[in-house]
Amino acid sequence: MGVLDHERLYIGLDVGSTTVKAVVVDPVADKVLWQDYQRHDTKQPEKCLEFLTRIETDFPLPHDRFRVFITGSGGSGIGPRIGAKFVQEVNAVSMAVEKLYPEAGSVVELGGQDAKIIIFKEDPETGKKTKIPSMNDKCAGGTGAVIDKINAKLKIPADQLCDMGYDDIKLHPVAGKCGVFAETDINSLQKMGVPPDQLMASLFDAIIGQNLSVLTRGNTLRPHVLLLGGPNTYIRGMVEAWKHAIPLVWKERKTPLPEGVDPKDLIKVPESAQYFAALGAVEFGLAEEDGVGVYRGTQNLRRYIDVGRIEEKAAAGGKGLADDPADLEAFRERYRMPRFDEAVFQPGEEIEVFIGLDGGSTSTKAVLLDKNRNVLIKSYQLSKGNPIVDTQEVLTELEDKVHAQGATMKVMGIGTTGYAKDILKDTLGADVALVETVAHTESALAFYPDTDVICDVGGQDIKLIILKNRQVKDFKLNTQCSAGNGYFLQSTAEGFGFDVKQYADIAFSATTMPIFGYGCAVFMQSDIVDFQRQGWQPQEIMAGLAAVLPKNIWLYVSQIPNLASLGSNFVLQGGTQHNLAAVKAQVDFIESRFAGKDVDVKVTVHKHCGESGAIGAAIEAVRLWENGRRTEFIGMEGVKDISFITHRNEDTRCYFCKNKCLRTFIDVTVEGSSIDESERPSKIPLKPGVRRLIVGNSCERGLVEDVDSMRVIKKGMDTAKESYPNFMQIAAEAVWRSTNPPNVAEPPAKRAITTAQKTRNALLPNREKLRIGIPRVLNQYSVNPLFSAYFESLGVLPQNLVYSGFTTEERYKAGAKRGAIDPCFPSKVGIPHVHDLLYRVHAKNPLDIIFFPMIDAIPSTLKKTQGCRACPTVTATPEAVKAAFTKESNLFDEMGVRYINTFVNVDEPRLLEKQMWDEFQGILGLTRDEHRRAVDVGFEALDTFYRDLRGAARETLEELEREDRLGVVVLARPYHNDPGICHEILDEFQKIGYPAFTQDSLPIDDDIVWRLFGEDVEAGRITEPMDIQDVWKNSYSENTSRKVWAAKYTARHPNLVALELSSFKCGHDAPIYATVEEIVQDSGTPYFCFKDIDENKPTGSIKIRVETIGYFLQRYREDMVRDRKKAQDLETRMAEFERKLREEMEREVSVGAGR
Amino acid sequence: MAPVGEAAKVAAKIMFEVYREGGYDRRYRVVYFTELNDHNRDTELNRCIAGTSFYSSFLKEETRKEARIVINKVLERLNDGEDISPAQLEAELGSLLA
Repeated sequence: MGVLDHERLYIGLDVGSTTVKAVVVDPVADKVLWQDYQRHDTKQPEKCLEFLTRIETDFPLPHDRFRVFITGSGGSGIGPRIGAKFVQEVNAVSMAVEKLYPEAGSVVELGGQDAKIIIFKEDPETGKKTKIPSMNDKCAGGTGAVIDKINAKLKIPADQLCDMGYDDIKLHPVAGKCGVFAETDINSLQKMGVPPDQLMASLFDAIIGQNLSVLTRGNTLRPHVLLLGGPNTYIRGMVEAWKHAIPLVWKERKTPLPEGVDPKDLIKVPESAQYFAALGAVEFGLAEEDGVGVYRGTQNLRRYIDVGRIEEKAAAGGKGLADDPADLEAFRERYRMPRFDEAVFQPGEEIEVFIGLDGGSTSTKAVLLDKNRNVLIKSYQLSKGNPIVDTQEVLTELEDKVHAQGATMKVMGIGTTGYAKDILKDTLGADVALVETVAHTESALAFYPDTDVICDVGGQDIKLIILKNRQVKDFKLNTQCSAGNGYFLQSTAEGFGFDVKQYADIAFSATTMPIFGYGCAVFMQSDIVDFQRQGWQPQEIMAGLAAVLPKNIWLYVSQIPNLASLGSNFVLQGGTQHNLAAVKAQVDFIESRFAGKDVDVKVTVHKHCGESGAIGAAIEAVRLWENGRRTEFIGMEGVKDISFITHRNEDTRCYFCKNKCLRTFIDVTVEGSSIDESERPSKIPLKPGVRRLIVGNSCERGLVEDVDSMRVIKKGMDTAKESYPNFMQIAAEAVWRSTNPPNVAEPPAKRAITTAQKTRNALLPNREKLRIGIPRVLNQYSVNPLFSAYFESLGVLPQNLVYSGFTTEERYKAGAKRGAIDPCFPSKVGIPHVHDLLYRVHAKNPLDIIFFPMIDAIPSTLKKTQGCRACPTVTATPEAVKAAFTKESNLFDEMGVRYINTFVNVDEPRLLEKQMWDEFQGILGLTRDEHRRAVDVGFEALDTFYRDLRGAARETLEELEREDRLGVVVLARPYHNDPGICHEILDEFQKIGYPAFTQDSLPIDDDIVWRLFGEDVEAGRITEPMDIQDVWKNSYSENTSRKVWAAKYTARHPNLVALELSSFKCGHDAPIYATVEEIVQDSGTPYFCFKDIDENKPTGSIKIRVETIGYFLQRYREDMVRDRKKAQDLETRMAEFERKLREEMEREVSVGAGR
Repeated sequence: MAPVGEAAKVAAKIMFEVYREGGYDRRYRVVYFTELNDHNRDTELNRCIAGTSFYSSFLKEETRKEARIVINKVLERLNDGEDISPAQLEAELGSLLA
């Protein structure tokens, strides 16, 4: 081998999350002398030791003749023990690429738990290459871990996995975004009998889609593309999938490619792909000074493996869930669940009770309460698949327990909650079907009146309910991610062979525990395996998992690190709170978030944590009874006699997704009911008096029989919507309509003499042909009538003013890949809208111009404000969009479209006139006069638009006042009118009977604003009704100021309530969160909000939230009507009293006069 | 449980609907109900039920690619303003329907 001839050898070590790669390089000969790649099975140090020992054997040189450079996620821990210098992975890979494949334009490296993309860009002037690196974060989506997880599930041997393909294999929809979702999809597909090759090909497709849409951060992978890392190197299908997907992007983006080369050939797995990072580490080392990275042998590494690691484990691991036995004992004492003793009755006694019933998807809970809201008896059972049977059984059990004591019960009221609440209400003749959030809130407040926050951790979901003034102010649901739910703890315990009831005792027995990183459940599952291999015991792992639970709840799922901002009284509810280990971790976490703050936090576990929903439903039944409602409960005999027929055949199959669930229809006869759904379209007709319950569906959609049934429901909703207008939708549609402005263009010069006249005459005919595309986004929602009227009045045809479509998920995804920055969602959709204009509208019927003005200021009706600027992010969006479409090549030029993003000030008509003149004079051939007239016409159109909107809103508002009803004012920016931005949340309010007003639709006629603000003006707090100086001084941002003013308006109007919408990352909304909330709440008006809106439509969350808000609005209206009635009664009585007094006085006067 | 025998045969079809959007864009669209997944189901269904049905039926699963091409072409024509009846669409789909 001649190794002794070598001056020095360089070792490159790449210690990854699943494998170790090593190379030995002779720098003089520039030759790799030795290499190996092996899975380390979580034993990184052992594998490194093995490699180094073999290298020492194969190259018997003194240690100082080796230099070692180490990289990879495990490199920094091992490097110092062997004298190696750590090299950052991106640098290592880049150096190898530059040396071995200088022609490479980009690199995609997928590892076990990471995914990285490096794009190399050459500076055209200096020729120097710069790197644009990008890596994944705490999410496993798009990494090798997802492949490992699914592969383990499908039990495909490694060699077969490597040979699994992609080309010509049928694909199915699989979520690449999240490994947990991917598993759900794969489960469904597997149940349908989809073969493994199709499953894996679909997974490859999803992973590549995820990396292309997210990890590239809007950049295009530049050819040549090198595929590195284990999954890319060894799995054929991954390579085929990349070769399929990348050329499609190149084609769409017209990326220049070398002539005559198949684009697929520009994507390659290079030789030694798995060793690139190790080779790059060596390459890095060659430039280092002599004394750096000198190999010190393996003795320190051996010592670490034998002794140091155990010491390190003890030092690095947590100390266990409790500090010491005394701490544990004190905790157990403090949180000992009080024993529930069922009530004792006297034989022969008839007890008056209220029933609460929680029909959940996995279990049914029922409780009996007395009039004083004391819990008398509880019952619980796991679902048997038919909610009617479950209900019959739990209610019978309650009755049996009463009868067993020789007593009988008289049901005074019954409330239902949970997913089956509505049909149970109808079937049982219950008094109320209460949305779960309200039921949990009522229950918490009944026992713990000062509650600020409810943390309900169930088996499959987490609900965080934040209260203010005993009302739900905000809540979070974990619909997007499986991290942090109780089922994860339960399945881990069961995996170790323990019952979940033993969890706490076992976890508390651990005196040390591994520290899990919070985040994706996929990583946590793989961490469990790693920790086991490292020698952590089940009790220690269970303790570690309990400890990470609150981090997942608060930091990962709900993303509320500042718990102290929510209040100081926390109530823990839900079945998971029976697990004291989880409780201990939550209590410690919550308390730690108050450290150093001058607030005493109180964390309480609800004494009926598992039945709190049922208790809340019963409490509502008590309240209704107190308000005079008399129950129509069918009675216990009626419960036992509920008759139903079940259907389960091809006619009950659901086709609303690929699962094609074979559902069960339970047709329940509702005694004495006037229900007649026999006209409802169904393959299995319904008889009059029968309600249908659908079970066996795997999702909510399956609860509706078919699309015709949906339309019937929708028709009912539409009728409701017509009665309750939504001014968000009205404005969103009207703002793009032509205002039919007068034509103010001057005719062509009859005799063109000057050059200007000649030019104008030549340009004039173009106006009729000119096609202008306008993106339907941002402040165009405020000012579009101005621009449309301007262009039309100059002769541009209304049909030639073309808008992008409204924002939809599909449209967003189609264009979002170009986004290089990550602003708020309303700004982020700018690129997709221009993409829509270019690739859909222009592709069909060419546009001449895309006009996306940078609107710097917006006209205002407010007074005494500091300014009326638009948000700078929003203003600059047209420029960011321009950059996105010109950064690699000028797509506008290439597609023959002129992109115009004029900077305009719409608040100053004469300045706007100048700005538009400078831009369009040469394009339209304008004269000064016609241009000025067109600008004036534009402003008139804008005025008319708002006048009409406010006029229509006034009619609705007056109707509300006449009928003592409520309307919702949406405190949001005008561009939230876009249905894809607001996710049509207000439609849900229309459906339940509330009209929706926008800020800009609120009538500002003198009689109204003086009625609302006159007192403030007289008191000198403000100078006039449209002044907001009393509450907001920094009033330079127009949409912010409008929001503040509308909050004041709402707070002062008895028939209006506020709903605040705000987008995630809105820097202008954040400073007024507290101001808006205080304005509304200080007036006693309910305040509700949907904050942090982004591209994801949280459908389930919206539905529950709207139902929750609907409940509190109903209560508010009841109070309003009652108070008004009281006031009227008082006035009537006072008038009567006055009349009598006058009569008496007159009598006395006449008697006196008669004397 | 996966459908077997006759049930599997019956289930091997895709429910779809061509509809016209209500409210906003008023474009003709198609939704393949059976191919919806967790991530697009609510959006697609809400959009569909808010619209007006043009034509709905089942496609044979084995020829769904061909059917999609036919439907996409008809959608393009509809959105370009061509007067096409549901019966014409049905005729064009012909044997591709289940």
